[in-house]
Amino acid sequence: MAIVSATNIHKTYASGDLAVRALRGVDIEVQQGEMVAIMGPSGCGKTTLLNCLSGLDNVNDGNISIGGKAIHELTDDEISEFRAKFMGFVFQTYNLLPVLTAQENVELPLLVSGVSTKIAAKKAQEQLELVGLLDRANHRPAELSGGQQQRVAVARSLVNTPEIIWADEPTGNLDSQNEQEIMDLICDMNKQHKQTFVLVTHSETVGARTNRIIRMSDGLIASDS
Amino acid sequence: MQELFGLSTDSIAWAIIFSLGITATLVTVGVLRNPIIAKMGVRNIGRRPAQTSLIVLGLMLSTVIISASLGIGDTVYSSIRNTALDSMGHIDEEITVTGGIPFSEEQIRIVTQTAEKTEVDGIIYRIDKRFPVINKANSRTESRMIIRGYQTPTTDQDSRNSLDGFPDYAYADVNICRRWNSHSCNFGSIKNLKGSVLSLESLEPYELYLNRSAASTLGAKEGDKLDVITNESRVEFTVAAVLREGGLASGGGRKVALTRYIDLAKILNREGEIDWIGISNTGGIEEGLVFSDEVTGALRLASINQTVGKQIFVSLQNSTALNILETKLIDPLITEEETESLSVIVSALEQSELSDQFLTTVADPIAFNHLMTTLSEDQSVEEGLSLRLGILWTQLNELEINPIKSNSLAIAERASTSVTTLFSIFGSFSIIVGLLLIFLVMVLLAASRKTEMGMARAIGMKRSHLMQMFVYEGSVYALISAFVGTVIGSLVGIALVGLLRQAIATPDFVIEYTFTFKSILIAFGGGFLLTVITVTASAYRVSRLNIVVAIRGLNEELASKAYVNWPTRGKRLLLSFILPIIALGNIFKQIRALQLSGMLIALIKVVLLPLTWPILIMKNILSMFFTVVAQGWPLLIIGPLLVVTSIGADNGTGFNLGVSLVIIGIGLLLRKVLIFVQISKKKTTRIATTFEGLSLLIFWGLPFTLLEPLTGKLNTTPDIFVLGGVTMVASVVWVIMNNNEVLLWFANLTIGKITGIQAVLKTAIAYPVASTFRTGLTISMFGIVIFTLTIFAVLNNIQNVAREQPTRVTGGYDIKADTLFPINDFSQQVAASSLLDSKDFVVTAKSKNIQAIGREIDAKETQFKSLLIRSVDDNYLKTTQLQFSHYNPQYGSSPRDIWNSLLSDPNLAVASNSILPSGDPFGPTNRGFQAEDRLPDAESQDWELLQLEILPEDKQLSGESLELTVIAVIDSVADSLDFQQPSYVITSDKQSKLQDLQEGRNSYFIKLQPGVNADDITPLMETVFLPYGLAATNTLSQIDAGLETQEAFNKLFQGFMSLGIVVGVVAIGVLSIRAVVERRKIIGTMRAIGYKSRMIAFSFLLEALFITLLGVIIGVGLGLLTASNIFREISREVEGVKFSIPVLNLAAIIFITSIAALISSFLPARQASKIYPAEALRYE
Ligand SMILES: Nc1ncnc2c1ncn2[C@@H]1O[C@H](COP(=O)(O)OP(=O)(O)O)[C@@H](O)[C@H]1O
Ligand SMILES: [Mg+2]
Repeated sequence: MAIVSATNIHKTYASGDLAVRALRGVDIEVQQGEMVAIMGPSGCGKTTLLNCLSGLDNVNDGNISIGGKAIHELTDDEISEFRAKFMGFVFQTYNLLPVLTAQENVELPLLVSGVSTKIAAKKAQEQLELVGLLDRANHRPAELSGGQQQRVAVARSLVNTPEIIWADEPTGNLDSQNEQEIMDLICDMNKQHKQTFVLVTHSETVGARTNRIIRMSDGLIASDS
Repeated sequence: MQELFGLSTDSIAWAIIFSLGITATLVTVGVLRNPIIAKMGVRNIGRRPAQTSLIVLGLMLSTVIISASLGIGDTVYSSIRNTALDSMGHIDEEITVTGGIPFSEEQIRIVTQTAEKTEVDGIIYRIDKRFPVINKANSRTESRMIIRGYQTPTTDQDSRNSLDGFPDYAYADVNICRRWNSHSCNFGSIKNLKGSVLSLESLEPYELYLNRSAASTLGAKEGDKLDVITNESRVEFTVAAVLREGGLASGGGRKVALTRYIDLAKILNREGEIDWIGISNTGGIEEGLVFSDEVTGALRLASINQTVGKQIFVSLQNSTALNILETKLIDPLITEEETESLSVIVSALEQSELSDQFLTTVADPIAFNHLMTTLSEDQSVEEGLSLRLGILWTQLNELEINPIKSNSLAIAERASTSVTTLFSIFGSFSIIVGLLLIFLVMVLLAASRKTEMGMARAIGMKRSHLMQMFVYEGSVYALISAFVGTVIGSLVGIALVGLLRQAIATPDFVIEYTFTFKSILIAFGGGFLLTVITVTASAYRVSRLNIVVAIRGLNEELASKAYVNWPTRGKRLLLSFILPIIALGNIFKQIRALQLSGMLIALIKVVLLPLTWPILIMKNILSMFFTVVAQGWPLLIIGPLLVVTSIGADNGTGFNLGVSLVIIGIGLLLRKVLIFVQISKKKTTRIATTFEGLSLLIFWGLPFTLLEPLTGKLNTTPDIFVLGGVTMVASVVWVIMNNNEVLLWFANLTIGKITGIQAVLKTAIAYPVASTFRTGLTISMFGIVIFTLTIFAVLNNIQNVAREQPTRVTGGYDIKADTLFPINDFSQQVAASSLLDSKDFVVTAKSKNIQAIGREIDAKETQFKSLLIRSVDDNYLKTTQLQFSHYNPQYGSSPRDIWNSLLSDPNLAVASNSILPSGDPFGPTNRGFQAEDRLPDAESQDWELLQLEILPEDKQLSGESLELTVIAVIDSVADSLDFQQPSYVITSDKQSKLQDLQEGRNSYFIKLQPGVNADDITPLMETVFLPYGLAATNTLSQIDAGLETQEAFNKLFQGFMSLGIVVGVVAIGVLSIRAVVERRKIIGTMRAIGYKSRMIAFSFLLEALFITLLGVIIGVGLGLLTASNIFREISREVEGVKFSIPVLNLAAIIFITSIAALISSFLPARQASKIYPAEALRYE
């Protein structure tokens, strides 16, 4: 069953007088439990595609449905709620809240969906244990290395057991050692919990560990294998 | 206004002009040297108008406050001054005879002859008396009109002959008319309402002029016939004109009629007698002031009894006085006025020469008072010297020569200075807060330039260039905001003066807003300089901002200074000593290099040396010194020293400072010790800061008197509240900021209880907790402001005792009536009158008010001070309900017992509360009689008997005194509505020594039948007793009027202090705006995690609310603590006051502040919620 299906999506940025056509009619379908890598040269529209699919950005044309729900029919609040319950995000720059501890960062998605503080704390700890950082639960991001921060970010994206996780260059800022560790984690999750992963990446090694690679060029899908 | 914080405003203004000049020079030099940097700095200003206006708003508030308080000071000064000048016109000095008797021929001769020889251009004579008056045209009455008969002696032979009854020797060869054109002939122009100039000479027999106030009471106009009621008959006068205020027509609020001397003298049967002489100094109304000392001195010298003067001189010579005075002259606390008068006496004594200067100085009552106080303060003075001098002085001069114009202007000066000081003290909280805001704004501005500055550094810009850029930009902001602030401050001043007018203006005391050029200069220049200094200080810190640190962790907003080692510091200090040589050498270097701009700069540096050299040396010494102080032990030496000297000098502020230094010293030492025993740095800081903060808080929060058994009673001034408030708020914030858990605990306790917002709460709390610097600063701002507002609210609440228990003020009487002439058969007249009904008058009690002076028997102070005797009848003693703060238990245990004791023994008396020293540092000073060594003490109401020797005014020449035993002290509420509380005693009129005194002014105290309205009775009483000049007041409405004035004052202060809230609220707004910008990407992330846009906005609002509430709660808490301490002081003096927290008032303060903070953060919060997640995530 397709968890994500998008047809003919267009996205144009108005940048001054110039209109940048970032997506020019993209069709894509992602199956439940699949692990997809989106690759392509810089500026070809990968991030844009990811943002549009996850409802962080809206499209100019085309239809997107996730888990059977047509995104453009949802209000902003409903999309937010949908993201809180069904999606997880990992970013290239980790994007942890600098003032919160690792554990508090991981708790956030649970608190947003209304889970009680006690349960949230417990689940966050479990998740941190899973990524091997339980001993750093009370550290602030600034006290963690890049790889550790990204593992916290992964823990945060997984904590409310989302159906689908979007990751925009999750290993872009990491060395190969850390890249490997993060990818091990992601692959584990994908295998154990059948969670769907959509990864944007530059790295062929990352691409190689996925089931499917979609190559983009200039706002269009060039190949899909 | 001439003085501010003890400095003359002229020198402040010059200092500001000088500093502005230097600032301008420095900036010009800087710009010339490196125009590109200047351009880069200034370029930023125009780029973002919204940001610029916000910065200006933040920077201007201190200037607003300075400008507002200076405007109020100017207004008070010019209002009092103008009123004084207006009411005195040309009269600079007035002369009367002691005891209110007429001048003798000899005395008049002395005055006229002296006047001819010195800088006098006019003399005017007067007799006057109060009369009841009826306007025949409409039967309206005035019970106590002052009628003044004036005569100006002219040298014109014709008019001399035409004035019979006026003594010939009174002519003097001085005449205003000769030197001034005719309109000022009459000691200031007399003008009718239309403005036409009139003169006293043009009055026909039995005509009079009315001043405006008299005319309006009588409903009189030109041509009306008035009946003036004298003891024997009625005399008809015709109103020749109604006069404008000013000159002789001013009555200072009283109703005055001017008439010819001869007419009034005839009515009174006092032809040829003169009660009062007015002197005009050479020159116009203001110009004459410069001769005030000269003329007063000449008149005193001519009129004193030289033999007595010699006796005073000899008495002083044969005593230790010279030693005592010489010691006093080197006392650092001596006032300028004291120095001036005492040094004359000292130099005369040193040279053993009875100089004229000595005589005129001793004859000056103010100077003589300084002499007597100095002598009585010293233990070594001979027994009896003061007494002997006091008696001699009463014989020194029978004339009282009073330089009224210069005295009133001095009063104007003092009043405006104290008002401005009061505003400055309360305002200084807000000014400090305003400066904190400037710092905050600049730091945030720097934070927003972080990337830009990092790039600038990367491309090779120097740190000093960055700082310069920042200073240029800041200076332009400072200039704009000083300008805008001065303008807005004057508008605020106008609004506050409106409130002041409500509180104290009367038709004769016109309050008009004034803002002198000098004050504008001080407000603008001072505001600008304060802002520029703060801007420079923040630029300095910002330029040291460690970019890497700043980016990595938000905590470290300001990186610490680089460590400079000892040798370098020493080298710098040595170099700074030879700065002039270096600077001169630099000139030669530049000349050799043929660099024109370099030469110019080197030259300017040399010119500025007198300023920069000492500053540099100081700075380098301080930096040597600082690390030593930071070790703690020096403070443990300085602190105790300060404590000990302060106890010796009776100085409460110094004592508190000393103890605080000890606490900080221990804290610093503690750090060294903890580090030494290998405790982690984090823990050490926490332990030490917590110790310091809590100890300071506990020490400053203690009741003022708790340490009195150890230290003795120390003198406190209002500035201790400024210091205490700031210290306590800072201590609490210091502790909290170093113990984040406290904040989290507080947050969970308050907003944390709201369920379903945990996600929002997490960030709303975590951010402020993490940004210690910003949060601490903002909390302190609110804390300090709310602290003052709370104290004010609580203290205002206490004052309402008078309203809640009015009998403690009124004594239970509904009407108080004062008469001009004694009424022998008051009750019979009431019965006989058709207007009044005897049945309405339940109690009629009577009091005779006798002017007197008194002193305590067997006390150190031997001078008599003014002390009023209220000699009351048995009705009064039987019915009054006034209560006592202290009483001697031997005479009973209830107020009634005490009053009954007075009834049975006429040698007993009770005294007003004002004879006790006041512990209230805001209270007015009492110049009348005060008991010695008595402390107001709440715990004990016991009163040790006080023996008084009292000399009624009538008997001052004969010296026949009476002795009274004071058995109780009336509670202070009784007189709480009198701002200047006079000292008085109440005793029975059966006291034999009071029997033969001239009957003078009496007061009647009347209790009415329940249900009878006092307001209905008072006008009827005034009509019935018109011939006695009776004025009746409803006591309850008098209380209301008094309270209204107080409340208007309170409103004024609250309004002024709320300006501080504005500062805090602006700070919250600035912080929110900045937070939104800084957290764009985080907001995007939060949206991705699933936060709804509403939750984002909510989180920002909660954050603002959290910071505000924290500050407000700290302020309210510490305010209540301090207020309860002040209350403890007050309750020692005022029995029965209750400490009640003005819940509504405080709730309103908290509510308004919170709402204002929410409003100011609303726009930024909404902006945050509108941030589009996909875009925010791309933001770097
Ligand atoms: N907010 C924006 N405004 C204008 N152009 C944009 C914006 N965001 C992205 N673009 C442009 O859209 C194109 C696609 O960008 P992006 O999706 O980030 O590419 P990728 O992630 O593949 O590197 C690029 O040319 C980029 O410059
Ligand atoms: Mg991208």
